[in-house]
Amino acid sequence: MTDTVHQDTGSGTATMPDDVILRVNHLVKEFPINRGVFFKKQVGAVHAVSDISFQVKRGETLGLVGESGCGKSTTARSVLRLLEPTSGEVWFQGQSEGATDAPVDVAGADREVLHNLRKELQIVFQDPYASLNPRMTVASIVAEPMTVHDIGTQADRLERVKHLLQVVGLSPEHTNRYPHEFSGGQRQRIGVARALALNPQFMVLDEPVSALDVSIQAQVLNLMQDLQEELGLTYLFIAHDLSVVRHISDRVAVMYLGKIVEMTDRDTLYERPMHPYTHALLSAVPIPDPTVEATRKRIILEGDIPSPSSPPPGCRFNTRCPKAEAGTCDVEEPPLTELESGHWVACHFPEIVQVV
Amino acid sequence: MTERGSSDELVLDAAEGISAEPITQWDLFVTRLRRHRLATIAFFYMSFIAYVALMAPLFTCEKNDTFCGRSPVEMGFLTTVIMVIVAVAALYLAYRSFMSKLRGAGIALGVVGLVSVVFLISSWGLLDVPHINHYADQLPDENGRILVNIAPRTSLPLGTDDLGRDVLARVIHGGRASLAVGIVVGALVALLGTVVGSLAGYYPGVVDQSLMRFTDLVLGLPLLPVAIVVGRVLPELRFLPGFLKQGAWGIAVLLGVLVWGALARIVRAEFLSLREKEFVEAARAAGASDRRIIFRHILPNAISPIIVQTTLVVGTAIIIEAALSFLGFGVRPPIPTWGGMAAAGAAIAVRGFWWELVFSAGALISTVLAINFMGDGLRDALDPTQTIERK
Amino acid sequence: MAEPLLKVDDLRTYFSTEEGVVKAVDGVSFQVGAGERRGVVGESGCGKSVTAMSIMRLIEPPAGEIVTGTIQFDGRDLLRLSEAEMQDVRGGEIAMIFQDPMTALNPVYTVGDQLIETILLHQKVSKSEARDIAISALDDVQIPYAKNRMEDYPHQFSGGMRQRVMIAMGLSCEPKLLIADEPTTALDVTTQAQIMTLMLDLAEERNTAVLLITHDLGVVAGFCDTIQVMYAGSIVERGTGDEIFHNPQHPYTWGLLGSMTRLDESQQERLNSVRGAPPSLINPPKGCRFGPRCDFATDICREALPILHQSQEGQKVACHRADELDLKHLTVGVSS
Repeated sequence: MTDTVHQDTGSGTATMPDDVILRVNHLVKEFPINRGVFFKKQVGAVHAVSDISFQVKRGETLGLVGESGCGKSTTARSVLRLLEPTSGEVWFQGQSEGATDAPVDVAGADREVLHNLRKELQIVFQDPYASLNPRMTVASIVAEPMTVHDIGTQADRLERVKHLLQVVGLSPEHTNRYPHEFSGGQRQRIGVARALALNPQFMVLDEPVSALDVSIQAQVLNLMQDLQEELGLTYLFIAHDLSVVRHISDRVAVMYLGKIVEMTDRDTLYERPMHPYTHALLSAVPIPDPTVEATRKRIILEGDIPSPSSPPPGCRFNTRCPKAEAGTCDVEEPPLTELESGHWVACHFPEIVQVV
Repeated sequence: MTERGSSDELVLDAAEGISAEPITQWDLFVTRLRRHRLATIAFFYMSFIAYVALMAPLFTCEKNDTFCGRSPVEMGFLTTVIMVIVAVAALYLAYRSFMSKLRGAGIALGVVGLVSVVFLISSWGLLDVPHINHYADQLPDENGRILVNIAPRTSLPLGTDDLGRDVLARVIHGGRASLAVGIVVGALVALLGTVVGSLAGYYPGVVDQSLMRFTDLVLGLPLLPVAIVVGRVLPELRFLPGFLKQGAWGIAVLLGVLVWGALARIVRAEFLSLREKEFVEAARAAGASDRRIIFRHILPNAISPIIVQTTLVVGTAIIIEAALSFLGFGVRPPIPTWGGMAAAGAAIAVRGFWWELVFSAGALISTVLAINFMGDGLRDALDPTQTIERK
Repeated sequence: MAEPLLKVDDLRTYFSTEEGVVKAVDGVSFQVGAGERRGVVGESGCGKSVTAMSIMRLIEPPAGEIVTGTIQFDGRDLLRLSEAEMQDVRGGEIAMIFQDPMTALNPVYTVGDQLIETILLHQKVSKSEARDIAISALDDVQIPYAKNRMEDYPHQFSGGMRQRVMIAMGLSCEPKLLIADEPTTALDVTTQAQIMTLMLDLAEERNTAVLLITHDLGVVAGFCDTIQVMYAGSIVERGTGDEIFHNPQHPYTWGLLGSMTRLDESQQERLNSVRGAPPSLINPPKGCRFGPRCDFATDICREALPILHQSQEGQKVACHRADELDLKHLTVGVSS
């Protein structure tokens, strides 16, 4: 299953197993650094996402974790083509009326195809304050995807908005309110209702709870889990909080500086991590338990994350890695390989270390 | 989909203190504007000045006419229609104000509406009411001598100028030039600045760069010299329609096409920041077209700086028009303007006849100040950081 | 027990806003002993930061005002000091570090200049001595090439390094109390681990008392001796780390812990979340502030405000029903 990810190298079409909903092949996103305007000269590029491949199975949650600047949000936006990928393919294989549709390349889709794909691919954003237009009512915010795709009459849409508000646990009477009247948690629910409006199959959750307080976080996480169960949604869950990711994900991919360094199912990642960066990351997360904390050993990383505009040669983690060996790690880039069944690691010296 | 019980949400709503009635953006705007005392006063003062200037022909006697007031035919069809609309609007708003228990505003608007109606009726010759002298009339005394340089007194509250004309009538009528400049410059600036700024901000690269270099060029023109030269040439241009050659309209259009640059820059900056906002991304993720994103999502959120900046530019433009008229390059005599009156008044003020200068300059300064105060008030009232955040 | 280092008694700090008076801190009393590391935990708007600002007397009138209360620090009431005396206390005996180190550093001066200035302000030393102290302070917070980096400007440091500079600045005058207001919230988790380890080492080594203000229960667990949980402007529970985490007595603390996802637990069921949202601090609910969100609230909870009292289990708790509830043995999922 997962071993097919790296064989398929952009042949133009793809055959995908029925249970796979999304497959990303060699996705690259670079932001050019330009000088001059009329006589443009590219002087460099920020390598936000550098050749990553993964796939998401229907109905599962894939967690994408990493620290700020690792490219996880750029990946999510490139998958939805909110950013134009520099290269690579994003195959989406939807289902309609019980049958599996032919895969479509989101990255290569033309305007019209993309417009229709938008119904299936939705996103919930991190900042509940920035993600709702302050000048629109809740009704027009939630109804917007339907308006844009010209679905139903105005009355139909209002009916559906009311239903959706109830689905996310808000009172349907609030349709004519403005976002500023709601708290952060309530706004996030409005954002979820909007994403659900077109009955999507695949949803990117871009740090949906990191801006919320702990007790509100739990409410929204519960809601997302309930919705997934009821609607059979597939999630790509972007987060920097590894404990939240452990709670919600079925599989997890760890990113560092534009690369996936380790990818496996949830419990394997937390119990038998193999990449030194994953070790450090896991050991750094505090656990709300003084007894556990007292006995934990932290792997403290040296220095800071290098700039993505000039990533180090070889393994991108070699500048901070406690295991790095000169001559190997700073020269040769380790490929993401399947070391155990379903456990992918990109490291020259992988080793299972129990950190948690 | 299951509808989650909203019972705990009701608790939540209660705890959050969400009021029974939705608070609209307009409510917030009005509340905030009203809290800004100076801006409120400025707003009423401006409304008064604008009203008087607009209705000036209605309040003044026709030159050498035995019967005061001018018939609709003489005033022109369009002017009459506008005046009727103003009168009806004032009465309607007075009614609305009373309904929403704003008694003060209701009374004020009611009076305005009734006065308009009375003078309108009078202009048809159905009613005789006291009028103000015509701005070009040289007022004679009982012996037929012209009343030159008469100090303010009860019958002539602002006195007369060196040609024996009623300064009050001229101040009132002079507001029309400023009003024209205000309306035309406001409209042109809002239109040009918004269009150029939006396009530049939304489409980066060549579109942005070309438009902004052009904007820099326009901003770089020395305003007063260019206005003087073009203002001088305007009346000579055969192909121009008549109304642009005389009066304030030509000057107003000229100023309008010269001063939109600052707004374009502001709108561009707003667009640049707003287009990166998550709600714009959300619209894009929903499949919204560029047009929808611009008009439904970005523009409404950029409206406050547009309104505020336009207001401030209007203030500047009125000053520039006055300066042109003061220098003699603006509106031609005998049509009165505050700038022109200030120039004439300055000449006689040295001989002790201060009133024409003081009242015309006073009208100009107070109007521009009022516009700026309104701009300040609007800036606060429209500030989204104040209206969005709950904390 | 010896006289505590810090003794806050019935502190009330109110803010007047357009909508009404916000009772941000409403009757908070606590003590911190010398060398004690105290965690102040709570969600946004619970008053934890305002408590810290009140201790530093950084509440800006006319909007904010300390209405009543005393803040005894080392035998003096800080609220009775003159502004000049208070300036000596700030940065001298009590240091504070903030969430965003970038705004706390002046971008147009070098880090060295700012450190030296702070030192000269609070210690009677010559400029060259101050320079040496500054360099060793940077060394202490493990900034490599401290001597060279003195000449750098704040923007040349990464977020983690800037927070180290702030800690160096705070500790340079050997304060008795360090107030850290969400010091790692803006940082990545690996950087957070660096900073928290550093702070723990330095505080232990110098016996500095720390008031750590944070929303993150995890950070507190590894750092603090004692913890107080705040909700809607007052303290609802106070105890040792063990008491708070293993035997919470207040339903809010219990709910907060249930809301947390844990790295070391493979739990896939629904989280035991607290329903609703914190109340308005302008019109707080009658009785217990947590009452409307509490699954165990009874009539008395809706009537009377519970006061912080000694519970049978050892910690202090502000709950009418603390002694009858057996929260420890309630399993996840009981409240929905």
